[in-house]
Parts: sequence; structure tokens; C-alpha cells
Amino acid sequence: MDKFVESLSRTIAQRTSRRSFLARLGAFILGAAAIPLLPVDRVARAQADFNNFNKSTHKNPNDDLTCDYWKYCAIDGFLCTCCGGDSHDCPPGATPSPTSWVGTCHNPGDNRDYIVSYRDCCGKAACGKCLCGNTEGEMPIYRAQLDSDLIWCFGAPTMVYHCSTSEIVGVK
Amino acid sequence: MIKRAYIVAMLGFATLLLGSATPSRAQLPADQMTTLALPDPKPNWVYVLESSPVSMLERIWIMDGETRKLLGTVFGGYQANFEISPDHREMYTVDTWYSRGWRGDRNDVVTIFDAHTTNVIGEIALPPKRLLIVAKRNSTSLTSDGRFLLIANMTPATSVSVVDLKDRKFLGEIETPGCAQVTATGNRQFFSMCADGSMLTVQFDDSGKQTAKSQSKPLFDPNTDPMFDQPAVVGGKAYFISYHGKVMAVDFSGAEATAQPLWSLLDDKDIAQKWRPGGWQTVTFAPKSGILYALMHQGGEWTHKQFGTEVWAFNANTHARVGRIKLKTAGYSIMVSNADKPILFDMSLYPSKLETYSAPDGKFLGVYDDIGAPFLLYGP
Repeated sequence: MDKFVESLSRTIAQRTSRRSFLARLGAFILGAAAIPLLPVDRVARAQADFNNFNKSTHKNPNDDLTCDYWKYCAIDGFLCTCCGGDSHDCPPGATPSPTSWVGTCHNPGDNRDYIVSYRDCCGKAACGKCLCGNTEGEMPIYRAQLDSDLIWCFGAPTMVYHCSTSEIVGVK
Repeated sequence: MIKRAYIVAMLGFATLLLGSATPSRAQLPADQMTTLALPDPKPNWVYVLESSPVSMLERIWIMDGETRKLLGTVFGGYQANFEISPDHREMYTVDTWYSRGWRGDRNDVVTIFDAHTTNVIGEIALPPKRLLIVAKRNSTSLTSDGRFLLIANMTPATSVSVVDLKDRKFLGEIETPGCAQVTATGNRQFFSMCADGSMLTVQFDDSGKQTAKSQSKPLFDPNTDPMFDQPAVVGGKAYFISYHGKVMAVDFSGAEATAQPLWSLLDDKDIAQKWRPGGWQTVTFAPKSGILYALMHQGGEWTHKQFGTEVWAFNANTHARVGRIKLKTAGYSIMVSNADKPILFDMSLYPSKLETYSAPDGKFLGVYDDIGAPFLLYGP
């Protein structure tokens, strides 16, 4: 866990040059000091079963154009893969947010649990394609680091949301 | 102007021709075009907040719940919130606007609407830091007397902006570290939910300055059974429900929040059948009858946003289940009206529908189709 936090912090540090933003993030984290920083130690137990968003008829955990892709177990929003991007790359003209919320997804391909960072692409109007609403491990706003409903564009040039990605940060 | 005069003249000419061609019947009088205004709201009106999937600009549909007729609309900005003054004279959207639509400079404002004409009658500039999230009821809140509008901020540091609606000005911010959202529970008091399951109670004065702040001990454990962050709020009391179907009534009338003992929406049979609450606006309370309604579905762990197939009604005092309403369309948000003959509103995002049922007996009354991508329900 410490390694993961360190890696995430480093990632954030590498991806933002805005000191004021880091100061604000620091204030946010200090404010939440009573809780574990990133309480991802619970493996999301259930598979992403029924929900009402755009699921493929036959679940295919390897198809990154659907909400059923294994890395998207708690993705919430429009898939960047359907918008000219990739599962961990923004479409042309959109900016990766330096901040994100995190989750844990099981990869049936290698039977490992991966810590993933759900990073939004920001700076363009919403893509509007492939809306997903997966919720494994997702928490209400008082646990903001695990909340998927926020516009996760903190530290990006603007707070305008375009689409969502899922980036592998490490193995749990 | 020439073009307009020409069109008017041609229309007049066409009217003359039509008039001469039809048999001699009493001629309809010429229409006089006006703009209608809304009457005072009735207890069974419902305000539906809808978010455009692409622009993420918001629209409020003002509906008569009894006739299911659209009476008018209000338009808000990017990820806007909505409030109605307690005296029903004004409506507010709390907006974010970018100067060039999806790009440019960010401007956060409170937009003030006349509640009858729906015309914009004022605007109050805010610091550009309001919480941007899929619309939730408690991203903003009005004090009971309607004097102050409270706006949750997240940068991601959290605070609450205080706006004086009487003097039409932003007064300042109150820091709420480690806690999010804002719900007024009186004239000069609000609470925020905190990361460790505690509640922060803040009191402030007419200048918007904090006068007292008290964080309770943790009232629930978010690690084992998180409470949904949109409780049903009535005066100084809030009913929270948890992912696993527990109910927590919290009294916010004092300086510090106190919780009553938890009780469960579920008996052993319900648990075996995997019933649990879920959706977006998952719980609503009818003050006149004391009945609590929860949106329920059958699902496993982490299905807390699954659409609900039933609404369960409980006596909030005895905790007895007094009704079980099977929904025609699985719902994402529910609200019960505060009328003598209350209506239970069931709103679905996919397919887009607003259904009405009598409450608590659950008789299906009707449906309004195609209401955009709705998230929230408000009563007058």
C-alpha cells in the first residue's frame, strides 16, 4: 500500500506543475487524515453484474469498447476508447487529469487483482459515447478518493469533462 | 424589419384568402399571443433536474404530478444545482459557465429566477470552486428561512460558500476539512458528512461567519457499510440509509449531531433474497404520515447504483414495513410529495420516464415519457 501511495504521489507530482494545486490537494488529504489515505484494501468481491448502462449482451472482459472490460470494473462515464482514445490514453485534444480516484479490478486473464486509477480526460465537452456506470468499490462523496461521480479534472487546465480511462497503477 | 413586415403582410393576405374560401361559419377570433406565467406551486408539483449527456448543462422540468403535464422549464449551467425559495417566490440555479461554452474562463454564479415568470431577475458571482459532481441534492442547500444559500466547494479542499439572498451577495466561505457537501438544518446551521463516518455541524451568523463548529464521533463505519450521501431531510432530522439496508436517523437540532440506534430495512428473508437499497435518490420521507420510502433492488455487493424494482414503505417510528410497491419501470430516483394525498414519483434514466404512484398504497397513476437524462427530484 505504501509503495502504491508513493507511486501515485510521484505520478501526481510528475504530472502537475501547479504548486498551488498540490497545496490544495495537501489540504484536502490533511483534512481527511482521520481515514486511511487510499482505503483500497478491500478486494471488490462481486463481479460487475447487472446494471442499466451500456453492457454488451455477452460479457467479454477483453473488449475495451464495452463496460465489461475487466479494467473498467468501477468506471463511471464515457469510455475514452469509444471517443478516439484508448483505455489509458486521452482522445486527441483532451488533457489527462493529474488526479483520479482509484479502484481494484480482477483480471481474469492472469487471475490477478490490479489497482487502477480512473483518470478523466478533460478540456473538451463530454464525448457522449459508451456510457458506463460500474460501481465496484465505489463510495459516496465523503470518501472522495473512491467517488466516481466527481468531475475528476482537479489540476487539469479546466474542469470540463470529456471521457474516462482506467490506468493500471500496480498489482495488489 | 422589412422582412418581418413582409411576413406579417403575407400572413394577413393568406388569412383573407382562407377566410373567403371556407363556408360561412362564425369566424374564430384572431389569436392574441402572450407569455404565460406559472401559478403558485401545488404540493403535488415536482421539479425534475436533467443533465444533458454532452454539454452537461442542466434543465429543470416543472411538472404537475397530478396531470403529469409539463408546466415550464428552467435552464442552468454546467453541472448546475437547483433550489426553490421556501416562500415559492424565487428559484435558483447554482451554475458554472465557461466563457466560450466548453472552454474559456470559468464563472460560477447563483442565477435568480422569478418563480412565476421563470425570468432571470438577478445574479450573484461566486468564487469558481463549487463542487462539480453529477447533481446531488446536497451540493447546495437553502436555510429554512430562505435567507442564505449554502454552496459546497471542492478544489479538492472542501468548504462551503455562504450567499446572502436578501442582500444579493456572496459573504464568504466556511472551511469544512475532511467533510463534504452541505445540508441546512435550520436558519443558521448546516451539516457536512465526513470521511470517517462522523458529521460536522456548523453554526454561522448573519454575516456568514462561523460561530460554532462541532464534529461528532463517527456515527457509522464507511469501511463496512457506507451510508448513501443523499439522506431524506426533514427539518433538523435526516434519515440515512446504507449500502446494506440499515437506517440511521440523525438529529441535527443541537450543537452536535446525535444518531438514533440503527435499524434495518431487511429481515432475514429479504437478506437471503439479496434485497438492498440502491439508485441515485434512494430514500424519501413523508412528514405527514411519518413513512419512509426506500428504493430497493436484488443484487450483490457494490450494486448500490442499480436501479430499483420496488419501493418499500416503513413506519419510521415502529420500523414496520407498511407497503411494498412494485414499479412498472425500475427507478433511479424516488420522491414522495408532501401533499394530503401524496404521490410517489419514480424516475428512470433508462428508459427516460417519470412514473407516479399513490402513496403508500402504490396504485399506479400514470407515466410521463422522455424526460431527458434526469437525476434529481425536488418538491415545492
